[in-house]
Amino acid sequence: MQHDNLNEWLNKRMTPKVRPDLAERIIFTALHSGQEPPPAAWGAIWKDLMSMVVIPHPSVVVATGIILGIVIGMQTGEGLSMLEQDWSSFLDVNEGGWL
Amino acid sequence: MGSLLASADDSDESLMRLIRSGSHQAFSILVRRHTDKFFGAAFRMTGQEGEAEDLVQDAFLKIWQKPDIWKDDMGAKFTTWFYRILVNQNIDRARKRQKMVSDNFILPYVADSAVSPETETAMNEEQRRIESAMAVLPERQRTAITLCFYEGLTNAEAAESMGLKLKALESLLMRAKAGLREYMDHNMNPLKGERYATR
Repeated sequence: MQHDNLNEWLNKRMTPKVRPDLAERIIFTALHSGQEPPPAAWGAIWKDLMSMVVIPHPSVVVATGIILGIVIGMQTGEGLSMLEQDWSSFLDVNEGGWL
Repeated sequence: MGSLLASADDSDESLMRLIRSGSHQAFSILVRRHTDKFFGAAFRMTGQEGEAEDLVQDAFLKIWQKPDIWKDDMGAKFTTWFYRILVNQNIDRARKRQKMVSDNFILPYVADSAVSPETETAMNEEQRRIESAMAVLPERQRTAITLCFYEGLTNAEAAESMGLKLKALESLLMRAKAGLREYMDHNMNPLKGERYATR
């Protein structure tokens, strides 16, 4: 079958000859375009420092923060009501006598 | 401090180090050494001479303008690494082209841009068929075939150049070969007499 000869067929593919001036054109263009200056040393240090505080998955962090906030908030709410109860019983005790 | 003088005997990797230090001479040596090779790869990826020239030029200018993208500690061969630059530039250019086409900007250019007229006249019938077969392949499949089949990269090197996992590259190659075989079956079987593309 013909497709058994796929590799042989692809091998027949030719490429046109490169224009002789292509390399020189690239070199010339580069000469006039200049290089980007390398980052300054302090810049590299700053970049390193910033990379330490970069949040890899901000959306996950925000979602986790919200969930944690709700859970802690609910717990704190319970704590406050308990404190209120304690406080009221404390007042009750005071009303009863020694303050 | 090392010397900024480059010589034609320097390895590609040494030349890249010199380019990072601003040596235009090292850049010139590297460009003269590899332009033919990478033009071939670029032509096989794009199927157009002019586009291939622009692609090679863009890729070389990128390493000249931003030489810091080359890292010594990567341990990569320059050529394998440069294929990656070439592939990425090709993707960028294709995206820009697509955007311009979607904006109805260069439709007449794209419609007949598969092969330049000069190349067309120089091609025989068989070459034309091969070019047509390659042209109907999706961009990434064509790149995978170019790197593995024509440029002789190992699958692992080609995967690295395309920024893919090995399995993904192998899958691309399989689909590309299947597409080409289908094209051959439909377009090169004289009994069928019809010609149509695979997609």
